[in-house]
Amino acid sequence: MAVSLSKGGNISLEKAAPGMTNAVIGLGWDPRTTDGAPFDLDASVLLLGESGKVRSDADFVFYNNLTGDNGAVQHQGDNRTGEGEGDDEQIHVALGQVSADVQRIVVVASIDQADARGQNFGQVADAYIRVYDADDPHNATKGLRFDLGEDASTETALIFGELYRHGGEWKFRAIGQGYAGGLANVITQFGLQVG
Amino acid sequence: MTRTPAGARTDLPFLRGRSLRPAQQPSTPPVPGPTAAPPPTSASLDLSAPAAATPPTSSSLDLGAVPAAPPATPPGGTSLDLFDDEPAAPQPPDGGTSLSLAAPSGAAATPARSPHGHTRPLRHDLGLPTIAAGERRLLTEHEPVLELTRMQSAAGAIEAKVAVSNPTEVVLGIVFETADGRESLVLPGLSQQGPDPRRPIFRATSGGVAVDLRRITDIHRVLLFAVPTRPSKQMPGGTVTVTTYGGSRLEIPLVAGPTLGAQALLSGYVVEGRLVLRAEHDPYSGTLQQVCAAYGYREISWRDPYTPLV
Repeated sequence: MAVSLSKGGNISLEKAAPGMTNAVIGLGWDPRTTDGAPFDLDASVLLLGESGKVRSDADFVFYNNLTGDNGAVQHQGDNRTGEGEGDDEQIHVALGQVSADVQRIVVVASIDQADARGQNFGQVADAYIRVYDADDPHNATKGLRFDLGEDASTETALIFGELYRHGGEWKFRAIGQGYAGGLANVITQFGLQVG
Repeated sequence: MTRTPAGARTDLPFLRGRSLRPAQQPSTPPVPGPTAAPPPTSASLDLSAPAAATPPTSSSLDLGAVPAAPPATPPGGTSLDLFDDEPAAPQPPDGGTSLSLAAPSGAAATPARSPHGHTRPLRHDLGLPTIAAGERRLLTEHEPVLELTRMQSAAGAIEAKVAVSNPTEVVLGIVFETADGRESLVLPGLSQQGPDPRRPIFRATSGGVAVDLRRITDIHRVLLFAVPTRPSKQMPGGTVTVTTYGGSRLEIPLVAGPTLGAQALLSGYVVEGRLVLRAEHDPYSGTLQQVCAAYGYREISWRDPYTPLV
């Protein structure tokens, strides 16, 4: 059984998924039924150095930059609707190939045109993030999962969680922190500027 | 657009500076970019353009500030309960990094291979001028080209508007090719949203045109054009402004004078996720059909030389 984390919890990836070298970060959500504009949620990751900032804009892996850190991090593309079973978006991380100066990999989800459409994460249900072994994807005993619950309300972007180095190993932390200013607000926290 | 058999784009030199197109030479080898298309039947559209853009005048990609809204307080006072003494969760910024898209020195070397066998696309330093947040830039005949960063190319929308004494005398439109090869256009009063009205990327109103950059990956190329609304087809003089999400503003002169119905203004190509823009400064006008054809948009059907079948 995959480890289930609560908000703020953390766990060593070696404990959650022994022997994992290629991790898949899967995110899922179900927009509540509305009669308004369709939801479009986007997953993205930021690769942070010791300063807590990105080293360059190439460390922001998103729908217009699907690879990061020389291919060690790969965004698998955009799911525009959030419909269907399974993960809505996935990011592959080759843990052993991540540059030594990348200390954290922060996973963010945001709602496209949230302000214009009057949408927020309060209208999104069953959001989760999970990490599992890409080389052993059907092993239900390996991996971890964090269900974000129904805490969000007016936020238009959420940091779901992060991978981080600690004591020579990779760990995962469940975060679930919301931002009202959308993706632009989140990434500026990490040293990027939108344009 | 011209691609090599391997898919590598060869039109960047063209985007940086296009030389005069040779006169009617059927045997001329293909020239990358819009001018690769032969002129329309009425040879009124000599789209020759000024020589190369000068090297980048601004290499700084500090894109300026985005309004820094504070993070929302997590509902219920849910502060991060980080119960270990390890790196803390998001910290306040003390300044942004440069958004230099310059590839590392070895960027053009062998493509990296991902853990799952994908080949990482090469990143090229396009070597084109850029624009910072909040900056205003006149795209002159001598410096007609710039590139937007990946973030500028993907965030929000770019909007083009006309600044003339009587805004009703001219409207803007966009002809475009999507990543899957569809060509169409948007023009006020004709087809105001495209390519899919249910999820439009391009919008055209009497006030201007907008491109939803969230879907930049669905776009291959665009051409912004102006259409005078007077029966005389006289173009009013003024300026066309193009603004980005970060408040950057490009300015393109709109030259007063008689036209044949449409005037090309600005072409854009998506190059490795970056939008490269070029003010055309085209000395010739044409019917809308001629202008579209001259810039390589030939997969559009027409009711008449001024009205596409959309």
